[in-house]
Amino acid sequence: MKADVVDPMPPRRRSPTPRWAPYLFIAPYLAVTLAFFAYPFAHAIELAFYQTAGPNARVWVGTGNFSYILSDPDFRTALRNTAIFAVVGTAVMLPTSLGLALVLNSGRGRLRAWFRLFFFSPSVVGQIFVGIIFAVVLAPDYGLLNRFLQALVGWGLETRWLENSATVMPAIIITNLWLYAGFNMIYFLAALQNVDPNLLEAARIDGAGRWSVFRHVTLPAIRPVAIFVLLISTIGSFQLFELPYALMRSTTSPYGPNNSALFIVGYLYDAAYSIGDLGLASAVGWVLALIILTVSLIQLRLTGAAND
Amino acid sequence: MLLDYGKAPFLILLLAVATGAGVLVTHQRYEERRPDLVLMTHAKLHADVYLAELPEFERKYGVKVDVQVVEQVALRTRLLAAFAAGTPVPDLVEIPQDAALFLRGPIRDIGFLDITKWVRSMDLEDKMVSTRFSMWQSKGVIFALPHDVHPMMLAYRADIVEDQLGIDVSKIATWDDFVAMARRIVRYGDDGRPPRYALELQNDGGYLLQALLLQRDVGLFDSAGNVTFDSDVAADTVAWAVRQLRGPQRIAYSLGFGPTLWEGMQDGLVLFYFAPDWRTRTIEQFAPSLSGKMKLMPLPAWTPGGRRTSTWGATGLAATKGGRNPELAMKLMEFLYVDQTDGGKSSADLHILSPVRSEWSLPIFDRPDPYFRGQPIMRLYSRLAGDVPADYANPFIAKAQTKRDGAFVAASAYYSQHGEDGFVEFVRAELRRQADAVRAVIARNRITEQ
Repeated sequence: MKADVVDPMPPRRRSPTPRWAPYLFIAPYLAVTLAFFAYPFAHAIELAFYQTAGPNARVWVGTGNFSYILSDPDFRTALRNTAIFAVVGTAVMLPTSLGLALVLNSGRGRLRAWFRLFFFSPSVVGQIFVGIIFAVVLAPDYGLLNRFLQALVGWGLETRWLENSATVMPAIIITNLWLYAGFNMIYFLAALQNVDPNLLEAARIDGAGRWSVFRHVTLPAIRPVAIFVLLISTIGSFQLFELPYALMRSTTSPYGPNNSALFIVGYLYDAAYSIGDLGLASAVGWVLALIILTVSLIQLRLTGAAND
Repeated sequence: MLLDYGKAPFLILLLAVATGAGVLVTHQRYEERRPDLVLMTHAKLHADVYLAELPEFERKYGVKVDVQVVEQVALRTRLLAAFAAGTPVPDLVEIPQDAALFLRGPIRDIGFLDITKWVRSMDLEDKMVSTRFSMWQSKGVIFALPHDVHPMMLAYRADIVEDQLGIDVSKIATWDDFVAMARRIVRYGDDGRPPRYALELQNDGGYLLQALLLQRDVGLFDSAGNVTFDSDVAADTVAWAVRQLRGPQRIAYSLGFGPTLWEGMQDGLVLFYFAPDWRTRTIEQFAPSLSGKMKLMPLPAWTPGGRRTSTWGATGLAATKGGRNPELAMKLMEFLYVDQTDGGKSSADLHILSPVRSEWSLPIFDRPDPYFRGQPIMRLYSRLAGDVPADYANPFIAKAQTKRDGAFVAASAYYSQHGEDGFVEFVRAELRRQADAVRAVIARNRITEQ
């Protein structure tokens, strides 16, 4: 049988599109990118090889900034703090976020929406606000946490979380966890809700327990999202600045006792806005970019995501 | 024809063009309406005072002045960026003490006007507290006019110290006297009663350690820019402060800034705190329940007959080179900082003593303050103001503060672990190590400073 053939509509008469039209569309994007990304990017490369003082004075130092950074004990402290925060912070963040997502995913009804909002809301207010609030929460003698500990276990009223170099890092990690666990939970929750229910049901019918279902069905299904969360958490950890800066403002130094809250971006900020050497700050920026790139590539390789 | 690519790209293009045009038009309009002078400050309280005083200046010169309040850190970063990029800057800027960063580099490159000749032509170094110019100088050139003196006293709970314990603070002349008196005050909470300490000191050194050091003329730097915080006097002061915080007979407790300090004072956890003039207003504001219970006394001296004050904090007013009307800016500087147009009212209301000496004789300074049991607090501060130590500006001041406080924290840890055994030697060595680290940073940057 011959299929019905529908005559195509006669082509409308159109005026020819000028050749410059595509360029016009991308012109705003190009202008903004050139002004606020390409130019600063190129200028930062150039600056990294100079030492600067004030708006105009600068001296060519070659790779001097890089060798200085690598030999500076303060940078090593910042690097160590950042690495500890990235490893421990991410190691705590991922299971917490996933755990919250699993709990919410198993719940039903309106409560789930409320809990989702409850856990997500801290990330809406931002790092500065959370830093200021937690500085009060963690204050000795009158802080909410210490009062709570005192009432609960009869200890902790005078604990100085932000004045003791041993407790500064845990305080920052916990604050960061409070801030971002709900945010990452949303990614996991979305991934969990996209796991094929037929696969889950088939596994259960085959006799798999809850742990086996999670281990062999759920986890592989949400693996791309988990890798994504791992990557953005790690990159975010290396870019950490506002949270410890705001948190430690209640103490004398924004970098904590013995530089225990000094991170790489803090070191960069200090070079630019405390010492006033934009050349050194640019070099730190490049070192940081290199570190993030390396760590991200290693993560991609280890997780096998690079092959996907 | 542009719709050939769909409606969305076309709308995005329109939006981009419209916002771009909007930015240009807004900027153009601001430039057209831009006042004759723009003054930027980090302190809202200062701005409120200026806004009340400015109409007189505007009438006198037939000009319009705009006052903008920008948070301290934002002011520093934006101004530094504006100087570097050559973008428009305010005509006058109130800069905090930690903004000595702006004085980096060759003198010709500094973004503020050199006001040395102007200051000397008006004899301001004599008319004002001369030591206050030390914070706004680089290589002998003055770049800002001091806003304040910030003499320091001790504020204390008179209802407990005098009424309950019967202590006569007028007999306390030295820190040794103070420590002896403090033994009668202190209890550690091991007898069932709440703990009570005599003095508020910071666990991490900070501004209070700095005040104690300045009282003994030990700044972070000297007038020539040399690092000086590793002297024997500095080591002695650090060791003293650590003992008061950590020793078996400790008298001091760290409450930190802000609400916790005022809570601790209200609870009687600490009875004395370091009070530069501005901090008397803060406690009045945040601990109203202590009204009529507080009093002020001069700092105890380190040696009999020694200095009874110190200082904490400073603000200066600088005119920018990029300003549109430098002459008018200087006139405004003189109007706000030198002329006593309001009979000292703003100084008395803000509890900030002006460095202009003639202002101190104004009758408003004898006004009793009921919060401090009727003491004429501004008069008390003015009596000490002439003896306020010099604190020298240096672009590396923030780095030096961090390092000195690092030495303090290390000394505290050592003392907690080892006690007096080798303590003083450790403090000396640690201060020297940290000071050498600052010297190394300065040496590295010497090339761009010339």
